[in-house]
Amino acid sequence: MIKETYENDPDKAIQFNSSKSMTGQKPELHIQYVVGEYLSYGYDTNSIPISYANYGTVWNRAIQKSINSWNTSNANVSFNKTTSEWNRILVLNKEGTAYFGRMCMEWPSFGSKLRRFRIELSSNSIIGADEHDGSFNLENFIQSVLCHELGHTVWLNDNPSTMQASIMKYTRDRNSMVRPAAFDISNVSKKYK
Amino acid sequence: MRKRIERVLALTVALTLMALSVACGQACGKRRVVSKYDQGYFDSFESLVKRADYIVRGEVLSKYCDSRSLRIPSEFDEVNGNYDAETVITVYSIKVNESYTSSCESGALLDILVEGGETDKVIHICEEAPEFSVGSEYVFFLSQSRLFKNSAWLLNFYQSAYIVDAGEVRSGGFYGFEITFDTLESIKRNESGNGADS
Repeated sequence: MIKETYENDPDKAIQFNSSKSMTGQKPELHIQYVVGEYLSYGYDTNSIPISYANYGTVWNRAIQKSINSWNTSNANVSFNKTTSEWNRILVLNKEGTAYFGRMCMEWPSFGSKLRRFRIELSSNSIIGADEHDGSFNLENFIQSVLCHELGHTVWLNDNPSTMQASIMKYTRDRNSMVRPAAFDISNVSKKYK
Repeated sequence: MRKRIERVLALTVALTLMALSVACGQACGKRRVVSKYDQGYFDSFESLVKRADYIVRGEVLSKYCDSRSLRIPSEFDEVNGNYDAETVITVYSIKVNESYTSSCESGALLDILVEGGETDKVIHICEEAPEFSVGSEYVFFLSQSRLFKNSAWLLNFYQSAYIVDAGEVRSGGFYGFEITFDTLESIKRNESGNGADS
């Protein structure tokens, strides 16, 4: 039996994960998807402090471009550079399931209002993407991944079920899609009217 | 008067105990972390196969959670300062019933590492990370761990694990590929064919 659970509430998700028992009667492959355009959490104000160190010209230029692409859109959000220990963008070299970036948040101190997060850009996965993609553009790739992660901080979910272009889709071309699409901007602006 | 003093004292002690218990409860409470990933997507089954170090069919013997540093030395270590990349992972120990790549032998024991899990200090939820049942059989597409012996990671959360049920292989994730045992056997044949050519 293949089970797909659709959860929008991280609290429930925690309970579900903790209480799940292994019966061994029927083989199961459990993958938990959060469906819909929105997560059940997002930053509580439209002015979002964010910090990052100096990772060199290419990385920092891509980081700045990603931030600008949100700030100059009509999404009505503004990521502002600070020196805070939280809300950091980190470029890391970590082993793991190949991911380009991830957004981590502490839960549930603030209910659905996100105030503390950390974005990790996986340098080895991003640079390694070059190995199997002839059209690889490092700066664009970083920009696309960070734009996606910033989208999570402002409520956006992965893989929205729309035919329209979205920076939140796993299937996007990260070499060319480097800024939030009209669909993403519209969805974020609805959260920060 | 004495009774009144005793009442006040008793009330003070009770309130102090309550405050201490609340403080302790908070301090002892587990940190809860939620992660969202931006993962790669394989647009063809061939690209998934090409990327895999191991392709195996195996039974899950046991599972446990652990907190490990996954950091690999890099040029950015100094910039990141003392940030430690310790992550809660779930370790699924499997017995390889069939290996479709020469890099792993049938009968071998392999640990499959998946981000997320619960330790005594942290509950780390990785949305979209698959969970496997002890006693069940799956087909995995894996990359070899450089940090941990006899260990491997899923290539991604949603195209790299398939369930074996009633003699069939089925996908559990969106974007999963339709595969059969014949498809898997052909990987083995192709690999040995390529080996003969070279």
